Amino acid sequence: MPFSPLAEGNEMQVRAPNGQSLTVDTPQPFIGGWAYLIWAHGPTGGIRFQVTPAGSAELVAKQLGDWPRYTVREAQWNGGRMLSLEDPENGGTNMVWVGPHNEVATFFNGTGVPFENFMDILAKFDIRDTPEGLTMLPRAGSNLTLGNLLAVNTIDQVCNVQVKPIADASEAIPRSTGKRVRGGSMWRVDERNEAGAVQTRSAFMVNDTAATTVVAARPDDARFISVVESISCRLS
Amino acid sequence: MRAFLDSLAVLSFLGTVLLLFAFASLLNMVRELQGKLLTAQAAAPAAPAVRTVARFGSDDGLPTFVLVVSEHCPNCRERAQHLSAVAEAGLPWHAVLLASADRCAEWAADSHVLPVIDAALVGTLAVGATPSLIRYSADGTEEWRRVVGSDDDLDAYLAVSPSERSNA
Repeated sequence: MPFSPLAEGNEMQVRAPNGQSLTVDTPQPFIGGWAYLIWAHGPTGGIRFQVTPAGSAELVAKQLGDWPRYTVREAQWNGGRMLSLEDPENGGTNMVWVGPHNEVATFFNGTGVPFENFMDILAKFDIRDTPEGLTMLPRAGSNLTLGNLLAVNTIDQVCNVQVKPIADASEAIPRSTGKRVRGGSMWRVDERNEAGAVQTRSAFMVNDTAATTVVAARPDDARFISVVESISCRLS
Repeated sequence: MRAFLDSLAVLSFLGTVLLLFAFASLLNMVRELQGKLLTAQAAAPAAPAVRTVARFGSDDGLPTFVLVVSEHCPNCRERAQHLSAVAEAGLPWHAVLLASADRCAEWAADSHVLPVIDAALVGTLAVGATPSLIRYSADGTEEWRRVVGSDDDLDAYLAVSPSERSNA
């Protein structure tokens, strides 16, 4: 079971890969630990990383039925398992380092990718894995900067929650005045199909630190409304 | 009684503050050490991995494959057992299992793989990940090293010639 530290009430504080604290107060518990997407930008372009609770990549691949297709390789690196999940059909390879609490994964084009390529990338970061989260700060001299953090979690059967730093979302903020809710200013976004029925309902809310998108599992679910009115997400 | 409790409260508060000071000075010490370590690292880069090991040379002109394994690593054990299974007498190479823990020698028991338990040597070779396969020429010079992620990879690496797979 992924670790989800719960303080009093339903407030939880976790550590994002860039070292920021993510504080979330929610009326209903999340299904599991947080998953993060983060990019490391350098002189030769960007590398995307996924940081998730340990074992997620293997579990998800098995659930989706992708696992038998993969050529699986495994080794030991820095006190954790290192997996290479090679997909011959799509000509790509997912490399995962599984730490004691969380794991970090990235994608390589092509097959037959040596573990050394992944180790060379990981060695550019100071990786610390704790129950509160995995941080991967670029080492001095690596010429890398972290950006485009996205934290994702799910409240089972109700909604999906996506949090990003406010600085990355400034263009997405509507000019109209949002509704005041506990988590900041909120706008409702309905995507309708051709017949005019609501296909996807979501809420976008911002405060001084974070921009949060809450996507409803079912558009007319009252529990979704109550989550939107009471959830609060902050990055610091 | 009230005064007594008050003084107790003040004392415990002072105690906390003192603890905080102690903690802060400890933090400072750690930061200083970290700073010194950083400057030390910048001044002297890490010693390069040893690339020549005389004991992995051979008298018969044949190369030697060294599988470097660690103790708490299930796939190291699987690779070691696979190496033991494929290493037969008369093959054009020698095979060595290198580890720092005695227990690992059992993984190559009753085979043509020579177990070498030498923690200091493992340290100087400085392989990044385990299991890693290193190929040495007859004079004990390292030709290449690779992380071995599966038995198939191990078979492939054992079959290749150094010219086909040059690696830093």
